[in-house]
Amino acid sequence: MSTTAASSTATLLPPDAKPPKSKTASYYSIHPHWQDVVPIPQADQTGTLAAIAYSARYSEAMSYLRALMAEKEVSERALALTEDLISMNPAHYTVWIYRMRTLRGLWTASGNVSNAKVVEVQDEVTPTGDWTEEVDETLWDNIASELKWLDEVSFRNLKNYQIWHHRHALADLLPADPASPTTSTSTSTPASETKPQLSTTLHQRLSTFITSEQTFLAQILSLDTKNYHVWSYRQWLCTRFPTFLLPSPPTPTSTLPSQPSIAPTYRTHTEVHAIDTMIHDDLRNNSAWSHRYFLLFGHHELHHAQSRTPPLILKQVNDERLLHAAGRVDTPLIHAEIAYTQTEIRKAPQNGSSWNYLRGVLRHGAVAITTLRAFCEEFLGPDGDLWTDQWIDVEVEDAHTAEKRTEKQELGVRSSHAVEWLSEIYGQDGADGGVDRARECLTALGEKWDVIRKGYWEWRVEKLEAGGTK
Amino acid sequence: MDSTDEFEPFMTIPPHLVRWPAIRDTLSSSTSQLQAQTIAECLPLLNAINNPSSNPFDFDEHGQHNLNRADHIKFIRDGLQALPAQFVAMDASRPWLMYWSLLSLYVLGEDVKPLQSSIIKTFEPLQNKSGGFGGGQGHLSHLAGTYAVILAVSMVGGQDVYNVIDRVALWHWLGRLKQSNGGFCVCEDGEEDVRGAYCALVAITLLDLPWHLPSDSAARASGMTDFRDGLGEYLSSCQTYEGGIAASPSNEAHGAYTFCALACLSILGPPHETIKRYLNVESLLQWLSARQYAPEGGFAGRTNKVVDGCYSHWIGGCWPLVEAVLTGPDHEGESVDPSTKARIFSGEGLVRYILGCCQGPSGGLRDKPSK
Repeated sequence: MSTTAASSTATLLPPDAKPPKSKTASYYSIHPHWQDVVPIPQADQTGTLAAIAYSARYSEAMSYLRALMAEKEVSERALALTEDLISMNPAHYTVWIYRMRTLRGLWTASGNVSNAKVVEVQDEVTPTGDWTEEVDETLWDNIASELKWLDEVSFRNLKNYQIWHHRHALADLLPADPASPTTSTSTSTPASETKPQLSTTLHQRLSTFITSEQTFLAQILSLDTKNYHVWSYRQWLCTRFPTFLLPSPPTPTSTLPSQPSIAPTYRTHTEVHAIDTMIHDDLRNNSAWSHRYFLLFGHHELHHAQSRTPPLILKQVNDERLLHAAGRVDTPLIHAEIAYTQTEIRKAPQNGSSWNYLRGVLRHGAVAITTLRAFCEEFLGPDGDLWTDQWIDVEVEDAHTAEKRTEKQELGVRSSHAVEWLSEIYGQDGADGGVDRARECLTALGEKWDVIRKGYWEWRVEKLEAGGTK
Repeated sequence: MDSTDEFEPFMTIPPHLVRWPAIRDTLSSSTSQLQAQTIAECLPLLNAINNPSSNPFDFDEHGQHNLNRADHIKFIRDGLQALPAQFVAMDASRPWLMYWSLLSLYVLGEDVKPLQSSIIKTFEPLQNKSGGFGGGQGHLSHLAGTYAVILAVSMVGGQDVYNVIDRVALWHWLGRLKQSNGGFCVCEDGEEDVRGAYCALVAITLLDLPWHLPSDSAARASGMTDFRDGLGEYLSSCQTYEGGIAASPSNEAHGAYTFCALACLSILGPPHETIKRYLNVESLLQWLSARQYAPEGGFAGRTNKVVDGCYSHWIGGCWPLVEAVLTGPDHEGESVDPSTKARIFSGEGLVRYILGCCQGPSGGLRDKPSK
């Protein structure tokens, strides 16, 4: 552990020496640029639990980080130190946050963000996005260069958490999109009804940025298709830059009546097209389905709930059909998406992602589940049989030789989801025997198709018999 | 019934826990390939009692693998000792590591009281003067680490241990994490998600901190006066069309975040009131129940993801809270004894997965046999 005082007279490294790869070599304590810093070593007492036997290099770098952070230093060398530490431990959230604070401090000091609320580095600093519409070239260059470095770190650390928050913080420094309901993550940004339009230059710059983000996200997601943090960042980006990323950005309620349907063209929107491609590659990628819902429907629900003062409980938006009342349900889009999802379900009827999505679309559009009765029955056995195995041995006769042989044919139940849906559909039917038929669906699920969830199916029977509070 | 099994089981394990699912799509994709691979690696372990080369003494009367108690205890105790340099990736998560270790020891029936003085020595240097605990010395205070410290302190107990926590500073720090949309950031300048909200409420209630916001809380600028203001609405906005809860509004439903949100609502008020008020319970149950797969028996964190031992905790932890919603006092007028009620999830499936597939060869639990 490095505890050498800064006044050490040991031979110093040349000023341009880079941090060594070696895990044992000293660096900061013998570098000329760091001689004024008194490092703060980690003081582990004996008996400390889960103490890590750090390498000498990591201990030394951490000692200097503590010293710099204690002084709230904002400097190029602080930036270099964070880069060095991130290379040794990319999961170190403190280093990432200190790096962001340092960047903001440096960019403020260089004057290019002086009009903003980017204050000096301190504990209480809050992110901000209240920027003027002017295109600040230096800021754009700074952000671009940090993102370039971050791209490389991201490819090396696919499972890392912190890089995505850093990316979020950087993108949040860009000018506001007037269509964004919350132009920043700062604590007090009242939604304004009259927002300015983006200037042509700014629109162009943001558009270029968004396109490069989409390219980068596509690359990262091709390596790790369900990475939660990547998708979360992508959703945040859509909310932050709706003009570019949402097929129907939220509009102030004062511009009623309702907007025209996006149904004729939405599949060509870049973000929707990207999701189409991902679902095409793996129709069971639930993250892609989830993003699809957010893009087409979810953001409207959230916007509606969050733009009220006080905000609504989200479920009220669909339960009380508030979007319908506000003329904010795109019915042609609902029907296009129902048809699209039905096609996807027919390709793989046991895919939970597509069924869940379909349920979401129905709820959003207040379309009765009973309208899908015939569709669901496609996945049952002959004559609506609920018990026939998916594959059955069938005797077939060769047309030419008249020889008989047995062949496995897919004749029985092909989707437990369809059976589940039908239990609801029959239960709501009201006709004679509807409840009996619904109960049989649930019994088949519990005894044959999805036995591990027997307890749940029994609970559903109880609910059904209690009068269907569905 | 057409069985593809090669021999009749000696021990009667429910067939759905040792056979391929009854329905499988013919269309293959990367998700279905990984799912098939996962089933293939679990099946021999789930059915190990019927493998002639197994030692029958490794199993109990239900054909379940025994819990390797002594190995696990040794594994955890070793982990609490000095860790080699490659553990540097855990440097920002040490309180988390210690909390899980202590909890595991506690669950395994070990006495954790003798660790009191070590806990004090270990956690004291992680506390920041401005409130809260960081992942390591000089690290920024973080709600996940603070949550772990508070729970570890509660578990070990003792006035000297309790005294480690600076409650006043912590309260002010929490005030700085409260956001105008009702949620909490996990640390200053850090991300906002439902983890933050849950960890904050655990801290406030276990330490008996005042509910009102400190005067220096930025959230006061948006009219908030109480840590609970807007919280239910915020959590409600994280419920997705699938029924589960996401890290943040607009994200994908996820097991760990669902636990955080349900647990947070259950601290906010009685679960049968708060969870019912803020969430769609019907779709929540639909999604939650679909997280358990057969034959594996374990839980998957999201739709079309594979089972993973960690969700035994996160999804498993949701069930008692959901059961409290279903059997709560306003259900049919009076409280129902939960023990009289059949479980909605399969405890047997989960036990077989944990014991059969998750126990590592030298103690400790793993996600799945290949990890």
